[in-house]
Formats: sequence, structure tokens, C-alpha cells
Amino acid sequence: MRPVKPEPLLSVRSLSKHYPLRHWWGGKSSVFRAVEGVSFDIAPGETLGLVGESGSGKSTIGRAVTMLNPPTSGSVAFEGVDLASLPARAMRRMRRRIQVIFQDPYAALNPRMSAGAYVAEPFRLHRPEMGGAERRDAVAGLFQRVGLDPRFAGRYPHQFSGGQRQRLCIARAIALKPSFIVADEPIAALDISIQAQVVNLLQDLQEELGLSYLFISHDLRMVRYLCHRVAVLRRGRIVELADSDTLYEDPRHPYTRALLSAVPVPDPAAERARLRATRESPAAVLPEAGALEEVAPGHWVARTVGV
Amino acid sequence: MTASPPLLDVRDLAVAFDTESGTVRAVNGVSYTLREGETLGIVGESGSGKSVHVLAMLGLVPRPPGRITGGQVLFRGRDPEGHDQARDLLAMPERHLRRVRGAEIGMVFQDPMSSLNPAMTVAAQIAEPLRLHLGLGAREARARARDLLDLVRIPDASRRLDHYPHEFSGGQRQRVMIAIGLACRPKLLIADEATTALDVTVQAEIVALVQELKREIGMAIVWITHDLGVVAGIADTVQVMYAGRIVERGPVDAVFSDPRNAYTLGLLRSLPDLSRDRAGRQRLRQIEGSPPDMRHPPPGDPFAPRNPFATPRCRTEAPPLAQVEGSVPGHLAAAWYDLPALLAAGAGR
Repeated sequence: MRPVKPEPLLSVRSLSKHYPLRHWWGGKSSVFRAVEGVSFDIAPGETLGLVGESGSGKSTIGRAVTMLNPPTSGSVAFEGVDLASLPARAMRRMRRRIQVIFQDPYAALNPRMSAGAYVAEPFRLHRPEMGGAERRDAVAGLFQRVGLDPRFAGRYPHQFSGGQRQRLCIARAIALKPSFIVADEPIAALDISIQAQVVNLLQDLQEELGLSYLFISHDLRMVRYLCHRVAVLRRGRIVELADSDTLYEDPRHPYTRALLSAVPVPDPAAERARLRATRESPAAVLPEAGALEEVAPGHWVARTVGV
Repeated sequence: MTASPPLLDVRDLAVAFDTESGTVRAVNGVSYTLREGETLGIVGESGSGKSVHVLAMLGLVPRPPGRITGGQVLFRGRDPEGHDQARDLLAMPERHLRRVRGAEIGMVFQDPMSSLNPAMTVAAQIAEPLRLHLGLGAREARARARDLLDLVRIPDASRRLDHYPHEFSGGQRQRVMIAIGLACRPKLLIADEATTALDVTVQAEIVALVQELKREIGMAIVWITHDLGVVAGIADTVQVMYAGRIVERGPVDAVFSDPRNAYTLGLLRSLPDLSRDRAGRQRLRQIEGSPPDMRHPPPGDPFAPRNPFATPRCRTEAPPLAQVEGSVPGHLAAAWYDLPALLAAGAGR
């Protein structure tokens, strides 16, 4: 019983990530279950949103499916190949196809490396046969593709604004023509006037390059806009998974409902009404999440445990 | 409109920072008033001056590199004899200002973990302003601290008093910060990105809490945020800042439904609609370009280089903040262009 779409690009099954908690006096050790039994697919060209609160396991899943921090158990199949069983050399080749964009572009950039060298680095590592001129042309093309002036290639990270730095990270991520990008809170650190720019860019790139995204975000408004399907995570488990219209229009799990009803609306009358309604309805007691059940085609909701 | 003098009257406040690469004019002539019991939402992005101008009026901008280059901040608080009197916070000696901060103006900042002292129990931290400003004894202050934890809805307050900040969740820590901010029953609470670091459900709880406390205590609030949704729900008045200036200000309903400054409009239009399904959606309307480098702000209206509605005059002369014709009194905007007319004529898509 799992959410399945035909011919997935990425197929995650029963993924768990546990961290041992050892007592220093040598007593019984236990484990922290950061992620527990998570399964989902991502189709080619699809964006799957992963939402949930801090500590729900969103980023852990992002790092596990890219093998940056491999899972404790479960399988991650990319284009039908199980990544956990790949030898190191083959995994390095696979990395061209799988890229990551992080929240803080400044932390992801090397302050002593020029923007051009940063974007060219994947070519130097993975395409050593490329000549200098060819590489420079490719970098200029990437700059243009993400909306940066190629003349900025000689500049250093501190000379760019936050939005431009995220564009640099995106340019580097698409350099080797990946088919899958994990975007972990890519707009959370950006100014409001810049967020829409980056989301539009991600969407344009998806259309042109046929990319699939795992879009990890706590911005429920942007997730609805950008994602085809959305998985809601709570305490390391998926509590609901559906296409985004269904999830936002017809949320079934009490946690999804609580999350969606907490989003402020930028319309004074509507927002005041929402605050009044919230005041009058007491917070729901949230049950523990059990196995997923398909309540409608493609709409999966966690069974409640112990109710 | 009542004729009573405002609680806070900011006049032409200007703040600059001297850096190695030049002077940053972070706040450029900000003027506004706040009535007693009013909630003012201040919206803007990093570098807009929204936080810096508040820190400056509370004497919390480090000098150097910061400098207050002009203005007055008249706050109608208690003078040392206990009379209500408007006094200029910028001209006040630090020891008087210290009384105002915490006693008459409460503050809540973004990150409760770095604002709370990890080595002090919450009881001691809530009691500190009570003992310092109200001269309460240890026992009285502790009893008040327990009442305050109750007030901010922390369950089992008596037991929690002796806990340390790390024993509280993120949302509870922000509640403790609010308890400290409200300890002396201030006339004004300033919250600077107070819910930004919190999860959306916790943010909703904190917003609801502040609303309830406002009804109980009746303080005025300055709520600084980049979240237009939060402002829509709690503010009476909204003020949009860009490049160290107020670009639009007015009753929240008027500004949201009839924005007259292009930056305000851009912010409102760049948000995706939560209720719009994917089939009916359009490409997000993005604001082009980046916020200005405040070491070298563009001449004229600082938003002009990003503004599709800009006129030649915008590029040479900064527009004044003036009453909007055809809108409610108190709706002010800084714009040389007539936004509704341009929109009606089909400009800006």
C-alpha cells in the first residue's frame, strides 16, 4: 500500500533515518527516529513538495535521497538504480544527474572563488576533457540562463545580492544537465521581492530542461503554487500525500488541516475573519500517524493510531 | 479622529552607518505617529530601515558605526515625577532611556534563544524588569512572574518558573520573551520579526496571544515583519518601507485594497494565491532587480530602477509622502505617478 505513479524518476521506499542516542554512563541506548518508513515517487518533470514544521524530517529526507547522508534503511531508486547499493565511482557519476540547492546561498558559495570559477567547477570535475574556451562559453550560457550578466563571472560572492547568489547556485546545479534537483528551502533566506523571481526561474528551468524537483519548504503558499503533488510530514512520517489542489482543497488529516488553517492571508478582512474563527475553535488533538491509506486515487492519508 | 496627542511621534528620523566602503544612509527622514492602543504593522525587506529605525529610537544602535544624523522621537511616557509628558527619546540621557526601555516600551525580538540568558531561570529573567523598574521585592516579583507566565498561556506556570530557556520549546521561549516585554505593563510593545523563526502553527498561536493581550492590557503595538499576511490580520495601520523611507502608509484595508506606491503593489502581487488551483494560476508577478546598495542609493526615488511605472521625474527627485487623493484620510503614499490611472490604462500588465 504505497503511493505509486507510473515510471517514476525517483522511487523512495520505506526510508528511515535513525540516530543513536547513547547515554554517556553506558546505560541502555535508544534511537531517535528522524524519518520513519517514508515512501514516495517523483515522476519526470514533476515537482513534489515536502512540507512540515522544523524537526519534521524534511531536510533529512532531502539529504537521504541524494545519499549526502544515506538512510539507515529503505531504498532510493533513481531511474531504476538503487543508489544505496552503487559503488562510490558509479555514485559520483550519478551525482551529475542529481543536484541540490540549499537555503543559504552564501554558505554554499566559496568566498574566495569567483562566480565564474564556482559555476565552472562541475565541468572541471566531471568534464575534464572540456577546453578552457568551451568551458567559458558554457559558463556564460549558464549565467544568461539564470538571469545573470556573464560579465559578472569575475566577481566574488560578497559582491552579489542574496537573490543573485541563489541564481549562481542554481546555475551550478544545472551545469551538468541533471534530471533531478532537491531544493531545500531555496527561497526562505531571500527578500520577499526576490522570492517570486527565484520561483519563476525554477519553473522556467523545469519546463526547458524537464527537471524534477523535491521542493522542501515551510512556505505553504509557494508550495501550492509550485508543486504538482505535496507530502505533509510530521515527526518523521508522511501524514498526507496528494496532488496539491486536492491537498489544499480537501485536506483529510487533522495535522494538514491545522497547518493550512494557520497560514495568514494577505487580505485584511479575510485574515481578521480567519483569526476570529481560529480563536473560536479549539486546537485539535493530533493522533499519532500510522500506515498510509489511499482514500481516493492518489490521495493518501495516514491512519490514526490508538484512537 | 481624537485630538489627543500621539503616544509616539517620530519626526524626520535619520540614521547612518560609517563603514569602510562608505556611509550607509539606512534611515532617511522617517516621520509618523502612533496613537495609544494602535497596532502599526511595518513591512519591508532587509535594508529597508524597518528594524534599524526602531533600534535607533530606543538607543540600541551601536555608536560607532551607527550615527543618528537627525530627527526627534517624542514618546509620551511618564517623567520621573510620574506625569505624562512627551519627551524626545533621542535627547534623553542613557539612564533615563533605560527606564523607558523595558518599563514603558517592551521589546520582543526575532530569536528568543539569543535574547534570553541561558544561565538564568525564566523566573529571574521575568522578575528582572519588575525589580529594576517597579522596585518589587523578590517574593512579589516572583508572584508577578508566575502571573505573567499564566498570562502568556504557559501551562503549569508555578513549576515552569525555575526552568531554564533550553527547557522550553521555540514557541514557548517566544512566549517568555513576550512575558518579559509585557512585565511592566508598557504602553508600547515593539515586536521585530517576532514570529519569523517560528513554525506557522506556532506563529498563529503567538499572533492570537498578542491579540488577546492587547485586548486585556490595551497597549499600542509596532509589529515589524516581512509577512503581509500577519500584518493584514492584526494591524490597524500599515507602513511600507523601502531604502530607508516610508513609501506608503495608511489604514490596513485601504493600503491592501488600493495601493498607490508601486513597491507596495509589487509586494502584494508577488504573493501566490493560496486559494487558486494550479490550472487557473498565472506566472508569479515578480519585482525585477534587487534592493539598492545603500552605500550608493540611486538618485531620486530609490525604487525607480525596478519600477515599471516610473516616470522621468522618479529618476531625479524623490517623491514626498503625501495624502492620497481619492482615498481615506491618513492614506499616504510617495509616488510621482498615478497608480490607479496607470493600471486602468493597462500598464504593468
